[in-house]
Order: sequence, then C-alpha cells, then structure tokens
Amino acid sequence: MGIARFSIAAALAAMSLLQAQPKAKPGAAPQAQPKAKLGDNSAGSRGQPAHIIALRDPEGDTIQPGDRRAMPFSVTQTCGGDCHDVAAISRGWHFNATLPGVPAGRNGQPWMLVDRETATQIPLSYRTWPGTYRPQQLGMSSREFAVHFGGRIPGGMAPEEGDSSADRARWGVSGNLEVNCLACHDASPAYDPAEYAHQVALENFRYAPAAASGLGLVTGSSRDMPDIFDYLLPNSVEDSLQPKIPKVEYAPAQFLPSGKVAFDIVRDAKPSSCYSCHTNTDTELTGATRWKGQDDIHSARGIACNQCHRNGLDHMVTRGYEKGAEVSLTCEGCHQEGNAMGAPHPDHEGIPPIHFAKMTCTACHSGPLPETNTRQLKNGMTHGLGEFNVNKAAQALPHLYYPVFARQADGKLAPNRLVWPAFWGRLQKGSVVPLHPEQVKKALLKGKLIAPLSPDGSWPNADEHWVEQVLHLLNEDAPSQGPAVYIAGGKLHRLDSAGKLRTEDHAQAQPYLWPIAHDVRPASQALGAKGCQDCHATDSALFFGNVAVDSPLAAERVAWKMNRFEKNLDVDYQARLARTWRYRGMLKGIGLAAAGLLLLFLLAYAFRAIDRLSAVTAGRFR
Amino acid sequence: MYRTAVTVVFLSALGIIAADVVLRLVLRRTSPPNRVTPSRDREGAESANHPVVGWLRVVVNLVGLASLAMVASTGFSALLTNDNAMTGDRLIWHVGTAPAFALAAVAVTLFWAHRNRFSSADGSRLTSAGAWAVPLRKLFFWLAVALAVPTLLSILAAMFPLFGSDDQQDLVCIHRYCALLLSAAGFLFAYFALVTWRERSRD
Repeated sequence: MGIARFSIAAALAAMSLLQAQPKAKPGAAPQAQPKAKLGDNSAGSRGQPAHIIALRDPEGDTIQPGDRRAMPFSVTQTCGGDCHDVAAISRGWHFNATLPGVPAGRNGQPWMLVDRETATQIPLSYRTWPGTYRPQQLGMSSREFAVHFGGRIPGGMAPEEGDSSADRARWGVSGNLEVNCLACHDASPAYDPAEYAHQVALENFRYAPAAASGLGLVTGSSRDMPDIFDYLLPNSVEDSLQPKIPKVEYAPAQFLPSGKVAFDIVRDAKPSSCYSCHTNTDTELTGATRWKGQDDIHSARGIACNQCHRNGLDHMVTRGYEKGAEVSLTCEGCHQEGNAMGAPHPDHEGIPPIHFAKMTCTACHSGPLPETNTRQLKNGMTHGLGEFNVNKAAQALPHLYYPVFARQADGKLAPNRLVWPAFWGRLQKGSVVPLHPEQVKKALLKGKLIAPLSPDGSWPNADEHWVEQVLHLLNEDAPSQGPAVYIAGGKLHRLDSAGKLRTEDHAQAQPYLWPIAHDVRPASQALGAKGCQDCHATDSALFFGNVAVDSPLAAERVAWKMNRFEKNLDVDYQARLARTWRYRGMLKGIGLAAAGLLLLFLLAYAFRAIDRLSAVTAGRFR
Repeated sequence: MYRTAVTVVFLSALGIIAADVVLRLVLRRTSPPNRVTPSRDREGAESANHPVVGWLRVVVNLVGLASLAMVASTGFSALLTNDNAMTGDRLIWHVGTAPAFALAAVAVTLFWAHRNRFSSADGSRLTSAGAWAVPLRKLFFWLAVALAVPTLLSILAAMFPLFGSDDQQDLVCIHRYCALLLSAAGFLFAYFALVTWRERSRD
C-alpha cells in the first residue's frame, strides 16, 4: 500500500476508532477536539489572508533560493505543513475517486480513453457510474491513468494495492500526484494549468506544481529516466541521460528577503480555474466563431462558480442536487425558497405545475435549446482544451453529443450529454470485458491492420470488413479468453460460426449519459418561452428529435429518436397530445364564449330576480 | 381531500335522488290516485307549442346530459385509478369533450332558463307532498349555471400565460371543486327535470 494511501487509511481508521468510543458520562470532563490547523480555523475575517510562506520539499525541508541543488516544492508539505489539513481535504470530490467507500454520486463527466488507431473511445471512471469502466478493467494501472489524465486532475493519486513492481518503480521515479491546491486556489497570472498538464505527461509529477506556479523552470523528463532513478541522487544515472534529468531552477526574484514566497492564494477559486478542466464548448463555437457564443446567465451576471458550488474543509463541493443536503445552493434554493443574491422568483406563468413534478429545472433552462438533431461538444477533461498542442479540429475524438433528454433516477426528465462507447473486448458469460487499446494495437500491427488516420482527429477510415478482420485476429490471439467483440454505434459486433460479422444489441453498447447543468439560459431563452408548442408539437425536438449515433463505421451513423431515452414515455400519446394543440385556440374561444353567454344569462335573470325581490318588498310578488 | 369531497358530494346527490324516490313511492301508496299535487309548471307548457322547438329541446337535453356525463366521467375517473393528476388519454378526452359540454351548457340554459324562473308558487310547492320536484329542478339548474362559469373560466385562465404555477394550482383547484358541484347539480337538475316531465306527461 502506498504511503499516501496508507496515511489516509490510517486517518480514517483513527476517525472510526474515535467515533466508536463510548459517550462521555455526564459530569465527565469533555474530550479534547482535534485542534484545527492555523489556516482551517477562520477568525471570521472576510479579508484575504496573505500567503507569504516558505516552500517545502517532499521531505518537509525548507527550500532556500540559494540551495545548491533546488528541490521541487511539495504542495502537500508547503500548504499542509502547519496551516491546512490536507488529509481532510484529500477526501473531497476532486481527489477521492480512488478512495474506497466513497459514494459514487450522480452520474458525472467520465474520463475518455481515446485511441484512434484502434477506433476506441471508452468512458472510464473510478466511481461506479453505470456505463463507465474502472481503469483496472482494461488492465490500466493507476500510474498509467495518472499519466493519461493527471494533467486535468488536481492531485490525489498514488500507488495502489495490487500495482505491479514495475508500476511501483515508476511511481518512485515520477513521485505521487499530490493534491495540488494551486490548481484551484492560485490566482496568480503566472499559474499555468497547461504547463502542469505538460509536466504530468512527462511524468514529472513531483515537479508539476513548481513548473505550473511559475516560481521555477523545470527541465528534463522523468519519463526518460530508468526505473532505478532517485530524484535525491540524480547523478546515479548514466551520462547519456544526464541532460534529461528532471530538475527545477527557481527564479531568485520570486523569493522575499525572508526566503519565503508570496503566493496569490484565494479562498474562492476563480471561474477560469474551474474552466481549465470543466469547460464545455459547442464544436460550432470553437475557433473563429467563438465570439458568437453566449455565457451562462449566472456568469454573465457576475456570479462565480463557487458561489453555488461551495465546500467546507472537507472539499465535498456541493453539486446542486435537487434533493441534496444543501438545498439552499440549488436552483430552487435561490429561485423559489430563498433570495440569495437577489435571485428572481419566477412565476412560470401559463406552465401547469405538473411540469415541475416531471422535469428538472435544467430541462428547460440548461444547455442549448434542443433542435432537430443533437449538437456536438468538446470538453476540458476529455479533450484537454487549453493544453499545449491540443487538436483544435471540431471532429477530434471523443465525440460527445448534447442535449439528450432522458429520465433520471428520480423519474424526472433532464438534459444530458452523451457518448457512444467504442471499444474491443471479449465476451465472457454474456458480459463484455474491455481490452486495453495497446493490446488491440499489437494485434493490428501483427496483421498490418492499423487504419489510416485523418488529420481532423476523428475516427480512422474503418468499415465492416476491417472490424471482421480485427475480430479474426483477436480470436486467433487468445481463443480461450472468450470470443472477441467490438462495441460501437450502440451495437455489439462479433463473428458468427461461419466467421462472418454480425451485430446485435447489448447493454454495454448503450451510450453513457450524464446530466447537463450549465450553461444556464434565462427565462426568455428557456424551453417553452415561445409557447407550449416548443415541446407539444408533432415535430418537437424534445420528444421527436434525432440523437446522433456515433460509430467509426459510417453505415452505423444513423439517428435514434430522442424518446428512446425517455423511459416509460408514451410516444403515441405525446404525438396525439401534440396534434390536439392545433385545436387549443378553438377550445379557448368556445370556452370563453360559453362562459360569457352563461354569465349573461345569469345577469339577465339576476336582474329580473332583483326586480322581483323589489316587488316582494312592495307586496306585489306573484 | 378531493377524493373525500367527491365521495361526499356524489353520495349526497344520490341520497337526494334516493330520498325523492322513496318519498314518492310512499306518497303513491298512502295517497289516493290524483291526490298527488301535480308538479306541472305553467312555464313548461308555453314552449312546447312548436314541434321543432320540442324536438330541438330533446336533442339539446340529451346532448347536454351526454356531454356532462363525458366530462364528469373523464374528470373523476382519475380518482378511481389513484392518479393524482389527470394525464394521458383521459386528459385528451376530457379536453376534447369540454367544448361540446360548454356549447351544450349554453343551449340547455337557453332552453331552460325561462322555465326555471322562480315564482311565488315555488315556496308552497317545496312544502307540499310530491311537488318539490319543480323548485328543486330550478334550484339545481341555477346552481349548475352559476357553477359552470367559474368551472370554465378557471381552467381557461390557466391556459393563458397570466398566472404563475402556484396560482395555476389554485385555478385547477377551483376548477375541480366547482366542476364537482356542477356535476352534482347538473345530474340532480336532469333527474328532477325527468321527474317533472314524467309527471306532466302522466297528467
């Protein structure tokens, strides 16, 4: 077990032991609470405390500007030494995916393992979200995961139980991917998340925060170092590797006369820090057309991400669940019940209340308005937007689609993003065990079946014949491990007994969906702002729109109707209801006319009744 | 709450009809023939002069009753199936028959309003044995007409972007309770109209 993992496990065990202790008897002296660290025990000042602090290396020693051989500073040691409880922070949403026993939470943005040569795009997650795969299922170690995706993870990755000795050796070379507080809290214009990702790709995990912070210049690459490399004894490697040894050179000007460094640390992360990873952008609004895009209404009004997505020391950032614990930080919390930040309270004139029982707020207010066909988007986590040398082509994999309206677990209709899994695997007891793309690539190389790639970063030029050939190769490779299959376009592809390709439905071929929360559109741009027929029309995108089916195989790129995702939806009824809408005007006209005439009758006879009543008082009632 | 109200109102309406039937049977046994005070009303005889008008009245009455039965059955059947809100095909049928009901309501009012004017004789009829059908018919008729207006207007108002969701809920509530009373009054009017017509034709 890795040191970091061991520390966390020990801390959790200690906590549970503390909780298990019997309650103090009445009258007994109160037990001492663990003392909060300096920076975690706010005196209540709303000012921003200065962060003039000494840099500490991974061993906890102070780094001085004149050090003969500078060590990379460790964020955990620098921030966590005396001031912040990094162990508690490391259990927050951003860092806890690999920890055991952590609730998965609602389906969220997956990591996408993309390999164009093998026509693979597979959603990965350490959380148990249905439709995603744990990296271990593909034989992907935590280190490999960290190298692939660590540039967009603010830390919290370390060796795991079950890691191979080779992986453990590489962790020793690269260092752990520590919790990087600076990723969110460093407001300095010098902090460069792209540089962080670059250093992670070079396996310079230990050096990445120093490089990204701009305090020092990092050169060399841990990736090029042998397994025996020790960063404390760098010269132990052979001469030819000396120029590639990772090292950091601090800028002396960054140090104050005290030898400390002034960080521009903010309690509330800037939206741009969040956007480094959490950007979602329509593919039509990248490049030259970007200026045409619209911002989230909250951002446009100057509301920062963390004004709703807040957290305490535990860093369990609120996710805005409708039925979450922090109701005040949901849509309803501000717009219905509370009045935070002067949020408008919508009356939803003309919208029958049943809509609020059956749809989420986001259904009408988030993402783009649904159109006949779904749109495509790119995402910071999946496409590495903002990183060096990123493929800016609109069609660069993975292909993500939105908005797709589907029922949530609570039965409400909500807009989602969607990805169609495409991967090779082996069928074992009816279940598909995914294969690592590298494993498939070996077979492709053997059979000289590496498909030609286009510069747009999209799928390779593949067809059914190619899939058939690859399946033959994989079957020959390991016939005892179950028949090889290929998942793509919502179908499972396999060879029949005659060796011919056949496709069939399979649960694991279904697309993975996760809810859209942003960008939020104001009332004037919401679904239904133009009337009921935004949805209740026979051609409404909400029920009858097309969801693009994505596949490397051109023949499979068809469309599914939106209502296929809206479980338990009576499609025929929706069509019938939509057809009645054309008579709605007539219904209103007849109803109003009838009510008016009835009212006239009532008035006419009421007047006569009054006349008679008057006659009664005169003794002349007949 | 609403389910209870529906049960109470319809049971009350059935109770009124049952009481009327029982009292009439008792009166028929205890009173000698022709001793039952005829419940014929003078206004009723006036409009039966022209045969076309007579036939038209029959059609209007039948259509009115049928459309009332249709909107009531589609409206209240949701309660039988434990649905809190009326949705699905039931809603389409309810909304589809509503215009027919609205038009029929106007026509029925046109044909019956004059005959259902209250007169000084109604007071004595109400207390004389077996003659209460006419004043009760008039009472339930005017109740139904009066309730039809808020029943229609409340739900029509909800179809315009005038009221917020909370107000809409109130409007739907008004519609449901007024419609409940309207249905009961409508059926009781139909019953007493039938009774008075039967007695008049027997005379």
